[in-house]
Amino acid sequence: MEEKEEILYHSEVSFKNEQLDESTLPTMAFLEYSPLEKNLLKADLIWTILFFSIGILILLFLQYYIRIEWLLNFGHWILIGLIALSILSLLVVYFGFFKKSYAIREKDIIYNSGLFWRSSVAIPFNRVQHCEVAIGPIDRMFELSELKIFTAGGASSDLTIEGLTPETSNRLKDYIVNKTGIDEEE
Amino acid sequence: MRKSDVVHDFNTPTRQSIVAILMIIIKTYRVLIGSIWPLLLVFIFKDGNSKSSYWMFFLIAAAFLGMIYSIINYFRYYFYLNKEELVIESGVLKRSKLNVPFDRIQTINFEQNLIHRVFNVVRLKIDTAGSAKAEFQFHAIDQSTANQLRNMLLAKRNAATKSDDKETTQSAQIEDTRYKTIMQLSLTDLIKAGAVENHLRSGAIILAFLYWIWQSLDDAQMNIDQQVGETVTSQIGTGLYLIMVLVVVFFILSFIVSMVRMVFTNYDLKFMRSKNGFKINAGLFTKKDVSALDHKIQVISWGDNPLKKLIGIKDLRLKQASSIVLNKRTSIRVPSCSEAHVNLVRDTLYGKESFKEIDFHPIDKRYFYRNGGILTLIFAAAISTFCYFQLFLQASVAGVIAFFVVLTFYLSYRKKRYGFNSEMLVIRGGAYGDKTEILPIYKIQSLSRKQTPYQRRNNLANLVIHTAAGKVAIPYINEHRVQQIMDTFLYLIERDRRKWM
Repeated sequence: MEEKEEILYHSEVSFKNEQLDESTLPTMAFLEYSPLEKNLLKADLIWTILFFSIGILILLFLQYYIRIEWLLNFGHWILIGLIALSILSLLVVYFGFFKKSYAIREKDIIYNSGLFWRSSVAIPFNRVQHCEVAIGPIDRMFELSELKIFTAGGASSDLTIEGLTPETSNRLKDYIVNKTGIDEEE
Repeated sequence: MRKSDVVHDFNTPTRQSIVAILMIIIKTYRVLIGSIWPLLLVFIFKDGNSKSSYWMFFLIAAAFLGMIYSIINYFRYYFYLNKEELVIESGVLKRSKLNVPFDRIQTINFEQNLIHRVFNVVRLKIDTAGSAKAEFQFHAIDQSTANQLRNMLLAKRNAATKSDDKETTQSAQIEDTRYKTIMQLSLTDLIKAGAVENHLRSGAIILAFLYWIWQSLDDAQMNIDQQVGETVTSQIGTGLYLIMVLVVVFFILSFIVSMVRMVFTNYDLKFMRSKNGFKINAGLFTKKDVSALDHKIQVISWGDNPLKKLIGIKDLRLKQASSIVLNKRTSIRVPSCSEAHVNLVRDTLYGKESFKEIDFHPIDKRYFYRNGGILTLIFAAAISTFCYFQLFLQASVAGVIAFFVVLTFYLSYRKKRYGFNSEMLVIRGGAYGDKTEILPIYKIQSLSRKQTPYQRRNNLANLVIHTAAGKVAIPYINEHRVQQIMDTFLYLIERDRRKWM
């Protein structure tokens, strides 16, 4: 094996291995996280209510107008289930909203979310592939927008921050794009 | 003048080799069959009646249209080079034009299946950096043209990258064509490697299938048994006997399947090193030729199972950046490596120095308590239900499965270790075998911390590390530790000026 090692080309390795003092590194533990726009909560709550109301209306229509046989017997149980589910979803949407927050630092962005299953994602700007601001028809009604940040890590590592005003989104996007640009020039 | 002597300049629109029509037809038919197979099944299993001629007409029409489409597709497909890009024009109804700047080209791979070999043509695959559609291919180009095209593209790319600043030239060097062989596998090596594959995994599917058949046979049997008035104990007897037979059949089957697969895909395998990359060349009917340039490799991993450990071989994988998340084709798999080969590849890529001063840490024991505990509860419930209904055979099978599942969790908890210095991250694991994953920290794309309610109560969290070749996770470590690791990694990534690809 020793002989073989000599004939192989070596990859260019530029190695630096200095000691890092973890206590002096910049930390994301004590950052001030910004909440999302209150309008997002409004929009999400309205959509949840709308979604379940349509479900309930369809159920009632099938039960009392079309009179499907088994629904006449079990319809009210499904109705109770739907109402319970809608209350649960409203609670999750409401309390989940306050768990969503983000922070922008000089070199990265951090996004927290999740009511029960917490997650925080950190993306360094020098790994951002591209950035996008998306404004859907519903977003427009509530003056909201989505900031989408893409990395090469695939769909599971991409980040979507809903609930920013279009101005904030665009400002953040410009900031991030500017940062990635500077990084490539250096 | 022989055809191979023709010198192409590729400035004028060029078509693929005429053989490509065949490939396109095959591909079109595959798509067609893929989308209408339920109809085909109906057609095949239908008893001959009056409607069959109608179906027949439909099928012939579809086949005919598919062929016409493929032929037009071939004649409407051109490629040519202009000053700074490779241009491909294609499309039957909707014309599309794809421009690939030379400096975006990463690797150019040749592939040959049986048809390609008969006509002496190759499939040319071009891999590009960044964009969403990272890969595209020419179905068939004759060998000499393909070689010329490859050389020209590489030369042009080299020129294109050189005109940029020096740093980019360093990281995106051209694919050197001079190779040195690291290892070769003979047929006996392959048979050995095939014999120690993970038969449990490939066989589990077969076993499930066989069990299902047995179950439906048994249902039919039961009625007869009840009529004759057989006792419960003799049913268990036949059940056990059947299971023994099945286990033997299952092992023989999965043995053959993994052996054949191993020989077919890795026949005449050559693993080579060029100045700035690795290359693998193998296959019996479908010859594969895959390159992995150093800067494109994001994660390398190797592992074994108890059988492989016994004869001292490992599976090595070089995982490359790809826009299609962890597509198996983009990772090079080298079966039957020795420890020395693995070390050689590791040190060639990253240098021995990179692995100094790495302390390994275990994960929290609650990883085992939690997962093992929940599974024990679920299995206990299942077993007691089986016992209640006097299904003792099923209960004992469930008991054995439960034992192995919990044991697996215990072993993987015991073996999981992670460690890093300012350059590399190393994660060790495995249950019955060993597995090691290593990646340079500067190739990390993003980091995330995930916490379940249980983990939050116990101040634990999972750390997920996303790379351009998939993600790796370190489960159940202290949440403050996760914080520290994230801070450290972010710092290391953000100050690093090297290109991750």
